[in-house]
Amino acid sequence: MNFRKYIMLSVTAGFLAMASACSEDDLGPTIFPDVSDDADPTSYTYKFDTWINREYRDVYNLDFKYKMEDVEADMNYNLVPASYNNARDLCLLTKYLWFDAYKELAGVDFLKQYGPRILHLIGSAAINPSSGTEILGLAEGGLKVTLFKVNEMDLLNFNQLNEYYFRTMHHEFGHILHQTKSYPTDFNLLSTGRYDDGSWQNKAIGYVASLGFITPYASSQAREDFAETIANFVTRTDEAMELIKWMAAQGWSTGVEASDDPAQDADKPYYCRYYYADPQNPEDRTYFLSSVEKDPDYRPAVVGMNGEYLHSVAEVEAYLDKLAERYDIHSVEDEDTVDGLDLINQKQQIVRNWFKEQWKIDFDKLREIVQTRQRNFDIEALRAEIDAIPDPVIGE
Amino acid sequence: MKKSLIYLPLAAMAFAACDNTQDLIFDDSAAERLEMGKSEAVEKLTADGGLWAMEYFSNSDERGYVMLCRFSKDGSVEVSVNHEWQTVPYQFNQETSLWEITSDNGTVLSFCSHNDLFHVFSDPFNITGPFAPTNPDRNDEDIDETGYGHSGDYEFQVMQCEDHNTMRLLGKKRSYNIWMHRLASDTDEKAFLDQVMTMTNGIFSNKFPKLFITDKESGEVFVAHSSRGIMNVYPEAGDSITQAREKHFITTADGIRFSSPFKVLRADGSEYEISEFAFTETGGLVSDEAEFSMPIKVGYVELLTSPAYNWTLMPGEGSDDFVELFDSFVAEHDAAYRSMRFRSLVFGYDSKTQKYSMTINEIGRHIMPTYYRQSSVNDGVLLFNISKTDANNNGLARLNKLPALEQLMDMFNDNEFTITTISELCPSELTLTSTENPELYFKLNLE
Repeated sequence: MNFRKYIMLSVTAGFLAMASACSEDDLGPTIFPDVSDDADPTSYTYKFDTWINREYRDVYNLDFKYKMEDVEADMNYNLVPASYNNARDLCLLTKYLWFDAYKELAGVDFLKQYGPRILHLIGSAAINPSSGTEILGLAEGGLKVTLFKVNEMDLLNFNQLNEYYFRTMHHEFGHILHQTKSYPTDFNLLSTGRYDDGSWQNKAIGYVASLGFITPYASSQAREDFAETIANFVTRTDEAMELIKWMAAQGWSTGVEASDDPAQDADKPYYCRYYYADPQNPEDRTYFLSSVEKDPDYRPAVVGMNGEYLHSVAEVEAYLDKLAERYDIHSVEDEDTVDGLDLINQKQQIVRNWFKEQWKIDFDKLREIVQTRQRNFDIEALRAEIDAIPDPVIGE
Repeated sequence: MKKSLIYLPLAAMAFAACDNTQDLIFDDSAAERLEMGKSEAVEKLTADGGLWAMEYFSNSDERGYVMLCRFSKDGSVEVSVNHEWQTVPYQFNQETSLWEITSDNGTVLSFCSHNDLFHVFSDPFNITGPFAPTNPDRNDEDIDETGYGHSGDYEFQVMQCEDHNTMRLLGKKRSYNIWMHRLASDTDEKAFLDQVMTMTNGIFSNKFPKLFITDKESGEVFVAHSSRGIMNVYPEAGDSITQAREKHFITTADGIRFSSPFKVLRADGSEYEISEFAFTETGGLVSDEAEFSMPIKVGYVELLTSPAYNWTLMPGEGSDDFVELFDSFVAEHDAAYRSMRFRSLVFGYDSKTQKYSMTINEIGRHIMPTYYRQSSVNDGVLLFNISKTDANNNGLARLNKLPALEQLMDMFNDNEFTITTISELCPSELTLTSTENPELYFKLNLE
């Protein structure tokens, strides 16, 4: 390379340096508006917003969205926002029954580390018109939990609260936890081949319990089975758990010959007892004693022959004893080759071990704490926490 | 020399790079413009008391509804309604909930907490109650809307609108144009909505289901049916099925407005568009493109000589002179016939005798006293011409016993009456005024 070329290269480099050096380096004002993180003191919801910031955002880095944001939901569903009063009450109950329960058991850092980052409330259920199913809750990516049907919340009906909200929040948190640390694959193997994602909603709780599922929804997929096992164990009353396990130990029959389509059979009622209307004719069986996951009072129940709802094992046994005075009652043969009660207990044990090994949490103790809190919450006292927020100072 | 030419573009580039005078498309950053859009929307909505009349459409199968929204700066909104989708239909009700302006899809107005009166159009539940849609093809059985409900929006894109007192919203999911008009802060919400309901009920009626629309450009006449806020239009001489077009509309304080321009199909296949009709002073509807009219075009007096209609005269509905005369007849009647007390006087058509009639409607299951009349119309003026002899036996008996009845019939027969109505498209209430004595008048209501 001769000297002339060096000069040319130097000139070229000089021009390029000039071209780039002319751009301004000074930063202008921020393009983002200056927005305060504090609750707006002029807002109608100032006290509630301040309480949320104090109890959720500042402690758990959690954004509690009680004003529905449709971009946070599935736009394919027709959804509506939660009413302000119901959203406020569920916000209080969520903290008391979920966050404070884990805090009491595992310390505040547990949910700081593993809790969701977004809680989103929606007023209606997400209804699927084709199947008639309703989504009551969603957990996404280990970060976001959505609770639905908030506008139907009835604080005077514990069973309804348990059915739609308490159980749902623990179900969804179960998902959050297993989305963070996987559960043992052994769990999936316990009911392999018996999950039915298409027609679980048509199945009676007694029938699925005898197959080893704690609820019909648990029979949809393994991961839902896992979350349902957690949520039902934690939130169901002793009475309800005993009744479901009693159902799991029964044989169930539709009383008619099975069709070629198992999905159609799912629609039929299943019974666990029968008697002979005509003792001389052993073919003439009259089947009775069915089951529902939630009766009109939102409780799991065994249903008597005249539509009576029986909510405990003791009630069922007393009912059968009385009928036995008139009829020769027989149990339906358990022909499904599955020990449903044993399976449910095995699943609970896997969950118990998983909580202990992965999360250092005593699952039984968690149930005890949640049960105590469920029985004893005082909504007025909880609301008083919001009322106690000092009035805003405006104009300073 | 030639090699040095390659440095010219480089030099140009170097100096051009120093030019910072290039015009920006926007003065502010996107984030700042979004915030500005939000602030402007909040300011506009809450200005001057923040009271707006919202013209709301939820879906294409039902009428639009006027709801009043009072937006406050503290994020609350008071919604006032008198629609039928409440526990007590058509009752005036108010409920407060929350609103906010977000920027998730441009500037968006969100009714972000549930308001029973407003979100009833968005709740995804099966529609129940006396006004629930039914399917006539399946014996009017209930249509299950579970999962859909009315399918109405509650989040709206705020569209650009320079007018301080008007705002155009676009439903975020269903994309209906929702117009809002500012009302004076001291507007009486109930009185306003009552007035809209009166207009809604008064402009179209199933008693006059068939109206005409005249296309101003072509002069062509169309038949229009307006059932529960959905207008069905087809050429007068055309096919009511294949040439019919329908569109839902809303009745406002000023007229009716279609959810989007209504394209009416002319007989020759061409179309014309109507966006809205404005009320006339006489209760008619007219737009730049077309005009409504009644099938009976010569005047309302024909309504009183039409076999299709019965008209009722109730006590107390008229001028003082008339009421005094009428009350004395009723008092005399009830004193003489205690078990068959007076209910109303009905002007109608007796299909058995095929004569126009005046009947005294009494309590009881007997043959009602009836007098036949040969009413006629001359130059838009009605002559009753009620006979005192051509009557049934009960009618003659009443006439013999009740002098005040004869006085009343004389009053009808001795005067000529002009007829007026407050709604030319739905004349279900007529006022008959004496041409000789304008102080003498009474009202007739369509049965």
